[in-house]
Amino acid sequence: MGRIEKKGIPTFSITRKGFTGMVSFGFLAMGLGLDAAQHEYPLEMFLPGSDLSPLEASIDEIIAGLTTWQPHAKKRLKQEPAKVTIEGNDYFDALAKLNTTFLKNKWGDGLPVLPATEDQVKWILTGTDLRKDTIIGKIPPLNRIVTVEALAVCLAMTGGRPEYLPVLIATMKAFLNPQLRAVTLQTTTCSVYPVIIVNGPISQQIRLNSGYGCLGPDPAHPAGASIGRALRLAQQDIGGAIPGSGTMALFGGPARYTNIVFAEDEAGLPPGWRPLSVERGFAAGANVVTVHSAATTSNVNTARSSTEKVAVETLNRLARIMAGNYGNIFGDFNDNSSPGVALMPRGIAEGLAELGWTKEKVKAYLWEHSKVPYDVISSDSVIFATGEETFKSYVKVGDPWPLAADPKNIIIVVAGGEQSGHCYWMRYGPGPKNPTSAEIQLPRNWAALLQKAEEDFGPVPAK
Amino acid sequence: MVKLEVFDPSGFAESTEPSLYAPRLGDLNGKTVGEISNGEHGGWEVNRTFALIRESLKKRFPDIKIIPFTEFPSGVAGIDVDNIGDIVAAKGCDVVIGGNAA
Repeated sequence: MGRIEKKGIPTFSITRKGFTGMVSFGFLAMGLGLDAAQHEYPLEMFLPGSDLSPLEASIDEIIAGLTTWQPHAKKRLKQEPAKVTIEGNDYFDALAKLNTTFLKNKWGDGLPVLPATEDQVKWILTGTDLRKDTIIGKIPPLNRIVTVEALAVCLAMTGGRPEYLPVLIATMKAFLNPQLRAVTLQTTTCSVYPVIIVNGPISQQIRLNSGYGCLGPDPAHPAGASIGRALRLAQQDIGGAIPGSGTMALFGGPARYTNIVFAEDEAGLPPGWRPLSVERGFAAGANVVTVHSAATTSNVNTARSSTEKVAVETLNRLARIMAGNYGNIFGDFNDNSSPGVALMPRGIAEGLAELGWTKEKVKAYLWEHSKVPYDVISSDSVIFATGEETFKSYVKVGDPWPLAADPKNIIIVVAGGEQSGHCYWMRYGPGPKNPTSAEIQLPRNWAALLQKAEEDFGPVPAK
Repeated sequence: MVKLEVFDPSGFAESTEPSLYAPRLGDLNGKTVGEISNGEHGGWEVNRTFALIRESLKKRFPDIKIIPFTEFPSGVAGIDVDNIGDIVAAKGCDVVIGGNAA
């Protein structure tokens, strides 16, 4: 509607209870003010057979919105936030007051934050050669500007280190790639969060986990939690994703505290199984982040690949889980949309490879066996309606619906504890269905940063 | 006493332009109203809500012309496009009512 206003055409928005902030943010995102001609109506009015009297009673307001309404917003100049000073009787008291202040300002998440002092942020900024005022983009829905320095501030709050900053910068670039449609991921009613998969030698160098407990928590591999939580704080503090106003996720969820950040177990890839980054077009050995979204996860047990029989049973089990919770995948189905990320530990991958399963063959099998029968999808009228027209371009009417246009769009990542026993399915969440990737840029002083990390933590854990 | 000076983590804002809002018309007599729906396939009772608005506006402004939402793209993916302003302008809309249940 903001675009229509900017075209010189007055608008009025019929809004449901709880969404007026979202509508206002939409106008702000278009460069207008945090203001819109709109009226909020009770949710019940939009349900079948409802009483429309609230709408009837507001006709004068609708007319006024189109004929006489004026915005309240005043012109704002580009501004950088000031620093905040917190005083306490001692350090602990000051830290406690800082946390209370941050919660009152809606800058925290309920877990303790560390003080992002000038010295701390300056230290973290040694993790990049980029100028601290380099603009990465604008985070929706508020569309406030995120700079390299702003990301360093978020990392300081989460106990981050300089060697994490290159990953966070690349992650934010991938997050703000229009293909990911961050505005939907940020604001949807679905409880969705980013999943960040890291490839390349940087993973082991900075202690990102690709093995046991790769999705967290793990004291030996703290990077993922710090980077993921810094991203979440940026989503909230800069982007405005506050529950009930900036993000309408009905449930939220524990994964949203740190998102999910982990590394592919590249050492565990069987011969011929390419890393995710190479599949996505990057050179072998490059440091890359891939960002997808996830709304729900399933631990798939029991997974085996010691014989062809149990391997097929495992894949069938995974395919049934994929098909059983298709979510909104059919709504914006396109040539590149991806229904989610499947994790296989190296024990399963090696067994499959020894039986002659290439990664491509596994994807093709999952793609075929996760198709949703037509009588099932057509009986789910709301979801069916979102994809009915689109799917006429992909399958014959009456044929089952695949979760992706091509098997290659199903992401498989080798990660997790070394043994077999389980797989893992992370089903995407609303936003676009297309994951994005970005190459990680290292600073000139990389070796020195890793040396310091080794002094602090000891040797890097073996792969 | 211990003093902690820390960064505000909320990034920074760009300038906003209240002057970018469309000037209001003063009157809807003889004007063309376009309807834009964010609901796909008739969701959120859009058929009923827009019908009520149409009927009410026509009673107040007998010369008003209303282009229903069915003549425009609909759904979030359909209307969240850069050229939505051009689309409604091409149909001659003087004002737009957007809904439903955004």
